[in-house]
Amino acid sequence: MEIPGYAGSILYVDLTSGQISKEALDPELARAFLGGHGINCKLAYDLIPPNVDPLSPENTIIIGTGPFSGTLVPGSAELVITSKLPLSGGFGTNAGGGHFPVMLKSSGYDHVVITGRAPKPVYLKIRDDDVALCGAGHLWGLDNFETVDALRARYEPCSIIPIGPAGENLVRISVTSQDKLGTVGFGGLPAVMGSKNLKAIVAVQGTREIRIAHRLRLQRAVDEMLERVMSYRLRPKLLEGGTNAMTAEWISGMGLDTEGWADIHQKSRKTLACPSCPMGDKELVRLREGEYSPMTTYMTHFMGEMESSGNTPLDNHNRAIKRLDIFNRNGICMINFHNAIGLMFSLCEEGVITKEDTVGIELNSDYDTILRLIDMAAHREGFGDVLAEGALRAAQSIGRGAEEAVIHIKGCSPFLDPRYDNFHTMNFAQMVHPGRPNYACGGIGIYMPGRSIDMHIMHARRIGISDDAIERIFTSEAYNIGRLTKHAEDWFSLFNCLGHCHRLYIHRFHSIEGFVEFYSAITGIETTPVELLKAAERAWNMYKLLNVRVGFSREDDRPPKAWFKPFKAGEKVLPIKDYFGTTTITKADIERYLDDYYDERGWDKRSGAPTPEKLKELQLETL
Amino acid sequence: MTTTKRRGPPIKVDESKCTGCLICELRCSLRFEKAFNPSKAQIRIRRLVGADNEYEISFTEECDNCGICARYCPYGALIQEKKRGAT
Repeated sequence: MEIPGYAGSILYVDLTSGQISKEALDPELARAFLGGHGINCKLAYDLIPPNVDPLSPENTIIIGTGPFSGTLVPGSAELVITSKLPLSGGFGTNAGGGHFPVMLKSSGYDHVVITGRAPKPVYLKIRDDDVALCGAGHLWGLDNFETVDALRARYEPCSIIPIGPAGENLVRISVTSQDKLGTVGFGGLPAVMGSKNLKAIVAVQGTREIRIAHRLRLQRAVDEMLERVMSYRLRPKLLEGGTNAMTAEWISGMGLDTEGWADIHQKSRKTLACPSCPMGDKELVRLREGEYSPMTTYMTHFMGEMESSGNTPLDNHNRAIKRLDIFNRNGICMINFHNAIGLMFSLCEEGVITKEDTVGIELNSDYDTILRLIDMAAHREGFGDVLAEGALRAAQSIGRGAEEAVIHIKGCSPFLDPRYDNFHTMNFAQMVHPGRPNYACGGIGIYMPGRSIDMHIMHARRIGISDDAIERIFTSEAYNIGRLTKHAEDWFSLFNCLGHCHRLYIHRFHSIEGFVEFYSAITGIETTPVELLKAAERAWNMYKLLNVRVGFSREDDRPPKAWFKPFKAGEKVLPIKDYFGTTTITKADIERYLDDYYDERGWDKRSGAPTPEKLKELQLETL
Repeated sequence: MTTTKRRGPPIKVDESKCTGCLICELRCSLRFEKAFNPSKAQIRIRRLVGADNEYEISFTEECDNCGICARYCPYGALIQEKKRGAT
């Protein structure tokens, strides 16, 4: 029997044969793994051979929504996509907010499983039972935004996951977005789509309803939360400041002056929101004056302009916005691009590489060169072909010891460097994340520098950490990073299973008790904080098992060697400090954090894999 | 001849404030259908194709101006006037 809150079906698409079918969502699967990320990982485990080449037809793209998706639970618009990723070679789940989940569920599907390779470029259109592979020859070559515009003109209201040139050219450092906004696909998901000749996925608004088990109970819970959101004293400031509102202080702590930029940005932005979200933090940016004006683009991430500038000199605001636009249109991941190009700059300075290696390009960090290199990477043109492979593979192809200098975790670039802002769970989470680095699961924003122990404990209770665990994690002066990270991950996993955004803007209003109430009201399944978190933990262990099967172990959970070399920022020399900035962190400290993390997880300390006892506890012993 | 079912006061629309959150559509569909689906709502939020994620807001003939969309709009794009409109 169908569980309320779920659309009720999984859609299967074989691009090779063109066969399309649907199956009812197994209620037991939904109970055990909740939805989204959890069911994605279980399907991936069952359907994708572990040693498959990520860019072969046998690799599979699994799209997921959760039981909260498409409802009024504030902030329930998270799309999750799981696949074997070409940059790390591991299985990764990517999450991003947007309209795709509500549109997909309105056609009656909770998940979509796409495998094979189409003989010619196609896009997948989904509207109720009208699911079709449509010729995309006329779209091939268009960038991400052009593709969305072309398909929107035909199918609005709809939501679109496109690929741009980077995906078409199988660039491993590619990334994409939903409807030009919520970013998904770190680790090269667009290249997986490109390898399948899949130019886009279009979820057109359908006619199926999402039933609710206890409507009035859900309305009460939503109303109570919305009241808190609307009366939150910082809401006007956050909405007005948008993506930069909460990060100016953090960024200035890194020695970057952003005051002038914030003012200019303020004049050019308009808030956009994901479905059901009263704390919209995505942006339409319109440059009305100055270089490149008039121009319209989109910003989905805090520090967007900073991120687009990476480790190259900061230019003026308009140039940073233009660069962001070029990244997003091409579908190039800024994090991995800047890591690769940063490595090349230093290898060039040290004389390890010459113009012969860069295929005649004079490597320097000026604005025009970077713009050109982004485009070259997206099209695998000249030296861009080297950058397209990501920093690690690029260094390996160069040889001459270049690999030693690469900052990477599991072959991908970490987003956060603890030498800038001390060592916290988000830094550590990047190391131990299965299959690829990800900082957000370490407690996005919650554990940013400067919070007191009392605040940490208050948050720990909010997310359902037990008294026993709190005792293990906290002293009056410090906390155990390894042990706390386990619980931050389970909380993050819960969000991704239920289809909820984990961004701090909306996340701050949720608690485990609140989630229990929403879940029970929607599905009619009465649950408890412990049971709900156990399902989230089960999903995380499933995620880990996928990657253990690929061959990842404790060795791959270690930090980049470069983190232990003090970083020079102007006059400052920055080693890794502990969270409170008092002592320097050593390699031995990090090994202890790893021991504690595995211990808290019930995983084997030597291999980093879940133990048979843990799998039995989670009813995963048959795997 | 068209018949209007509108009973409540008019709803004032400021499209420039619409963020596309669809809360109005979701809440409206819950009221009318007791379930969620934006297409079942009596308020319509549509992207203006080619206009950079700006939204157009309209109401179906079935809309009775109950004002639930305005009560739930968190961005001030929908405001129900106090005065009752013509029926």
